Amino acid sequence: MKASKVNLHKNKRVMSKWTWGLGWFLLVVNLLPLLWMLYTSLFPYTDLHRGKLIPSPRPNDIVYLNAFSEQDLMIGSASGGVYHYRYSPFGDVELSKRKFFSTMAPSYSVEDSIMWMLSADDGLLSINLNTMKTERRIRWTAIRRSFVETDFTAYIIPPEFPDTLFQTLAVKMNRHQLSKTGRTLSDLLGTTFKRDADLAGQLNALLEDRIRRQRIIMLIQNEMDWVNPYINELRSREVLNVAAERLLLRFMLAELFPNPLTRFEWTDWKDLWLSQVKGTAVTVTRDFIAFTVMWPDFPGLGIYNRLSGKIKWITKQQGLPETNWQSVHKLSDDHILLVGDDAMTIARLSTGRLERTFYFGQNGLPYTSEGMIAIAIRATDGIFLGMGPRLFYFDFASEQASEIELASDGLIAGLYVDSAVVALGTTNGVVILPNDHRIFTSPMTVDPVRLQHLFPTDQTENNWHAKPVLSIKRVEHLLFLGSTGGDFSVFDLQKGRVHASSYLGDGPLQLQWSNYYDLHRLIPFARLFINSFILCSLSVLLILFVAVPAAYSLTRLPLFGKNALTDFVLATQVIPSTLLLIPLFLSFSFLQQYYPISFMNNRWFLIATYTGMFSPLAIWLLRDFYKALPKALEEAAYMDGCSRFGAFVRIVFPNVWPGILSTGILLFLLIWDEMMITWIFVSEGGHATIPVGIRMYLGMLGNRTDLLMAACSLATLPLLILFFILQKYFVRGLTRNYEE
Amino acid sequence: MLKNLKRFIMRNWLAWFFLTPFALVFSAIVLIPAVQVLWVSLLDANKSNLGSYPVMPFQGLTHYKQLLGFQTDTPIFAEWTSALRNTFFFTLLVTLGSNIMGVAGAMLLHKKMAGWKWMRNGFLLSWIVPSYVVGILWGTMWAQNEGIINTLLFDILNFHRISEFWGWEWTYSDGSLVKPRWLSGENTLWALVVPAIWRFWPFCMILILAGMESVNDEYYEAAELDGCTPWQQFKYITLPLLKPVFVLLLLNSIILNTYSFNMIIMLFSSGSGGGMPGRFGDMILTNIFRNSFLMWNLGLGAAMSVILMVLMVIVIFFWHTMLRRGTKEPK
Repeated sequence: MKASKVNLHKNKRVMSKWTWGLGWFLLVVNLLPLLWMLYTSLFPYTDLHRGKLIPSPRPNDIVYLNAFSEQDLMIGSASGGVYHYRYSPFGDVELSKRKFFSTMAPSYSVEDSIMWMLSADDGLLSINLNTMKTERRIRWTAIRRSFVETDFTAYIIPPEFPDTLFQTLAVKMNRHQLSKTGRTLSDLLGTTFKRDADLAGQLNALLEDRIRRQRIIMLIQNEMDWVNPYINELRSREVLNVAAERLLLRFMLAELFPNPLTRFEWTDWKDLWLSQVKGTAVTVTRDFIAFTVMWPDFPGLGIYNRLSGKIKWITKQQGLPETNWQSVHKLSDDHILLVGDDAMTIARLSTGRLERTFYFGQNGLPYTSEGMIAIAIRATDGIFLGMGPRLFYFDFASEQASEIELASDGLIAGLYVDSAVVALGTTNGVVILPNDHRIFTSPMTVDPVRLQHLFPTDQTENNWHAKPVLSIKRVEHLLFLGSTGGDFSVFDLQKGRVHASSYLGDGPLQLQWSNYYDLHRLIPFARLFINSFILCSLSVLLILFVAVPAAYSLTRLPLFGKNALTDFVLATQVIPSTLLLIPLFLSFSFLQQYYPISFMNNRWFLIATYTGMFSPLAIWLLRDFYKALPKALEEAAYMDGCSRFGAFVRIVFPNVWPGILSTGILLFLLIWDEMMITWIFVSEGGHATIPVGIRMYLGMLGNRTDLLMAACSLATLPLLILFFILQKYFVRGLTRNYEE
Repeated sequence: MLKNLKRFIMRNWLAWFFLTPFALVFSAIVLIPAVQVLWVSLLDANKSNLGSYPVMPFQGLTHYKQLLGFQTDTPIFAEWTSALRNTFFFTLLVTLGSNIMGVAGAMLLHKKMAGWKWMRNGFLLSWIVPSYVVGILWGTMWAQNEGIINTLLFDILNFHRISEFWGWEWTYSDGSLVKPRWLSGENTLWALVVPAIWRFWPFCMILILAGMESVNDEYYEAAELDGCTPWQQFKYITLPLLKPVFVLLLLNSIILNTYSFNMIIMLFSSGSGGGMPGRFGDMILTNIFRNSFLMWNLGLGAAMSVILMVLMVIVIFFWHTMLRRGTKEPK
């Protein structure tokens, strides 16, 4: 008998060890998806899309090279690595200092030993290359503020829409084929608005009706806007490329469907700033820093005054062509040259005006293909332009471009047709670097350019790498070449071979917190979070305010038909939410016509809806806590002369508050998770909660799965914190009447 | 006597006073719309006539006819039935799966090994996560080429090679495997069920665990002394004693999973398909939502909601008569 008992205990102990291990193993397995979410929120999205489990190091492409004194060379990489090398006239290089500024897509410019860096996330930084310390930092918030404070009123909407715009829209709608499918916009409208198959016809009629056209223009000038999921979908497909046409189409649809839901407040176009802004290029002059800032539809040039610290803007209003600005070059201390996809323009920094603009395709300039434009500046009188396999010289005085004959004189075979000029560099001569890894040099003369062909003698022996060169700098007879992947070499033009080469090493591992910052930059996540939090907290408070007395009344107070009433209230929990939301939506769109309250995007309305929908549940939860309270407590209070109300306030409430807290936490969890109500009654990002906001801004996030995961992690965080602080109440709320 | 009367009035006054705020909100948000919906379901309400709400083109029972199969020439009926079928299987599988896992987890935790409370809280974490987050997270995990699940299965575990032993066939293009799509086609239901179970099972577990704790340990000790195996203990002690818990849990599972919306709709947000589930992943609520608030056919949505409500009431009636009666409410 005794022996068997001992055995039993032994078994139990073995068993418990085994189950202990199993339990923790299962726990880890169960948590894996959550851990994966946190882990990938720090991933670079490119690796995520390749299905990688461990992120790769960042590419350390050398995008900028400059010698800022007779022996100092600065190298800037695409992942924010800044290197300070010392070089000798013989071409030896030695690393002096380096530092990683973990930034996104930086562009650099150097003057003396001060480097200016424009990065997509950190703004404008000035870095002392001798100490590698950040001396000045102008954040994007400051840049944005200066932009918003600038008066652009003349830009907002063209004063009137010319009739030609209606005509071009009509032509585009019916003839212009959308990509691939070959359908026209009219077809697309017909299929998108299934219930109004003749929409395209109606729009066409609208385009021909003069009076209604006037009304549309009135609509636009009254700054009203149309918000409809389908219109947003159409917009996101980029059907119409010109902003004015898009605007026109939207207002035409607003005219076709006039009802209270279709028109909303106009959002100021300046609010566009909040997303997708990025800096593309920067250059330093004596008194100014010029940088281009680009986002869809509206590029601009910012000029930072180094003395006064103010930022001036040159935008479309001042005649800046609407294009992607690729680079900024310094012509003199007061003049810069902007080169974009469609045009190049000379700006004067001290006045903040554009002096001359040249469009590609005019003045003898070629059209830009998608290839890179390489620019070399020849003092102040002209520039060399390398485009594809051709080389041009553009003279500022005559405003004419001429193609340079690449003469071959037996020695040089010239540039092959298939070799593109990828880099041009000057100090005292043009260096041409076709992408087939040969090097040509020429003096700074225009007519018959005699190219000196410097072919690397032995590619393997001289470490001549076959990687594309991204940046180039020529100092005397030395040519510094920076290429992709962090390879960097010094080419001796006299000897015609690579003298020294160096490898910068990989960039930092791409596990990055900056994803969270990106999320903040791309979509107004903080706004969403605050909205969610306010909405949840206020709703929970209101629900408790409504449900705590009601539940008490239904549990303890004498009331005729109490049980039937309780059952009825609980039975409404079976109602699917759409059953209530459809009539609510209809009644309020009806009421909205007669009362000046908008129920769309209205926080108080949302809170009221939540309260109505969740208070039956709250009553159900609270009832159990009231039931658990001994009746004797209240009876004792009555004996002492307390009224019913007094007993509730003094005795019942203090005793049941842990239950109320548990209920509140559960309600917070449920309302934090609610999205259908908000989805229906919110159409603006400024009022959305996290899930609805994520849905709305999905297009802006694009394929950035990492940002989606970051958003998810942040959405889960408050609940986790709440859970770990108040876990006792959490579990108690869940298991109210199951525990003893 | 007078004092008694006064007290009686005071009592009732307080009860009604306490109920008033709730009654106001409840009738505005729940009761009145619940009556209105019957009228709305008979109307043709769409985006262009929203403002004229009470008087709209009267449709009679057209919507109901479409949904109940008297008029099957529209695509609405096919979508509706596939949504019903999907929801039925989804609810069935999730209820079964999460309850079985819940029982297993509760039995494991009931051993009270060291740190069991931490373990319980750890398990609960997957329930704490908001369901829309579950949707987004698993939506990216199920992705065809870059999703972690396919990566693990095929790139690391080489599941396609292993499964060839028992004769599964995989399609290849250009020598590389075409990984299965999870969020379209017939696999979709599984891609919905797995995350739903993942989120829901800790909820079942914690309730079952609480129920187990209320069972007196002496039963088990006696059973152990009589030489019962753990399975017998479970079958003859745990199950009968926990019947009330399971009955309530069953109802919870059915309601919560039939009405699941956030997770489903967010699962499809990152992939193709316009952010909406297709034929194989459509649930009743997503179908209603799409018809009423994206296609703006509010009358149809109302009719669908009414039918869904009636179906649920029938289910609950059966639940009540078959299970609830005879088990008393747990203390």
